Amino acid sequence: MISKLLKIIFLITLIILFFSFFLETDNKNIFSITLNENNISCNYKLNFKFSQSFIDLLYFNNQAEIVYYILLVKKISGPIINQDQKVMDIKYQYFLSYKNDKNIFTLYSSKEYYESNSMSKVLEIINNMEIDNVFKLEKEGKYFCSSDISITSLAPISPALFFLFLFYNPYNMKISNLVSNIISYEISK
Amino acid sequence: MMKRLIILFLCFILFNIIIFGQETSFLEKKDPLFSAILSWYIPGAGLIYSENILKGVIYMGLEYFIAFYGLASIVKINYTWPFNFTFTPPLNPDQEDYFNLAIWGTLFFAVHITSIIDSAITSDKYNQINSDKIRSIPPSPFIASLLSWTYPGLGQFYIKDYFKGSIFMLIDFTQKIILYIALYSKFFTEPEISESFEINWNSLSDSEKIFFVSYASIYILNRILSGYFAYKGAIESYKYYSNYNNLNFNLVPAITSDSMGLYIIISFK
Repeated sequence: MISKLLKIIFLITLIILFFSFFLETDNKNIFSITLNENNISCNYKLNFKFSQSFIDLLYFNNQAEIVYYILLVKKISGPIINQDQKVMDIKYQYFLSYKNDKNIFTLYSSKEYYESNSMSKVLEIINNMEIDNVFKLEKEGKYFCSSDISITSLAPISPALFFLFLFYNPYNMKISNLVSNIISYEISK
Repeated sequence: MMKRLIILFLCFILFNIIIFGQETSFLEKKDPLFSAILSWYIPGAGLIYSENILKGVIYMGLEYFIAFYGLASIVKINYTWPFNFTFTPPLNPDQEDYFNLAIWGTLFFAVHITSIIDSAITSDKYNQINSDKIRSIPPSPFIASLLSWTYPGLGQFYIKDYFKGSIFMLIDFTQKIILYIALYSKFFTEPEISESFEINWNSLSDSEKIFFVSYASIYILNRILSGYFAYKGAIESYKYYSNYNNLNFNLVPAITSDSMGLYIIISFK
């Protein structure tokens, strides 16, 4: 009797778990690109929100890694099949940390450096990131970009954290497959 | 004699009340990750830590019930009063035994993972509800090293050094898995498990000797290193609390009439 009951419970939980992966929250992230001569610049309008747990993590000497991954895709429209061709990709890596002796949050990469005493200002910079001269176009055609943005502060190294982070994870955030507007590049003669 | 005992008892209660009274002027901020890892090691302990005792006790009872009831469905247990258990594992396990093992195993795993997630969420909720009263309290080095000695990596989670803690936990976890595999391959492949057997150091083969020695040394070394780093990390982490939450504290050695030791004096600016 108990084993039959368990069988049913087991199946129901499996079904619920399976469908819970398909639930999506409303997506309002915007990613756009602009063409200046032959240079592509990227603009983000994201909706990241940091929980208190995430900020607490930064207070105690942990740093977060923010990666903007951008992929340039060329649109090739043929007579029968429309094909997308990957041209090149690039990674922009930033680090977010808290300086205890000065009471400031710092956001830095190998080229840039921002600092502020309030987390909301740093978050504003991350959400409205503008990256200039990302790609240089050489050939004519229609192009668009797709982007993944990830914020990682704690990697799930141990199995306990791995299972915890499957369902409860305010420490690592990710937005994947943001698709930009299409631009057309023509070489002026 | 009786009078002295009563007076001592009253002193003990009053002394505790004084300490309690001092502590309840603010509430301790709960760490969701620490409570989750507590639940990983001790079922339901993370929920008790995040002050949801009823839930914690329910999870603890449920997990132990599943573990023992599941074990009893596979291994036949004869019990006689007061404390005599005889275990007779199935010599030729059939399909039903494997089905029971799979069902009870997955159920135990599901409840365990749910308790871990629930304890993290509960401590987060606790912080949100009591957001105006809570303070981050600096960790005690003694408790950090004690936690790491009993459960490797837990002390590191207590002092908020999550990366190191995860590594110590991983070493502990892989060690346990290796032990289970070794035990399974050694004993469960032989069907005559019900016969009594002896283990002598001289009768062991060289590879078995190396396994036992390396297992014991890694077991102890992992605990010693984890405890040492937790102690050191706890003292080092004090600098992060000085500017956090306007908290100011000093570590003062003191000798009073009833105790002596290091006291952490916490004050708010």
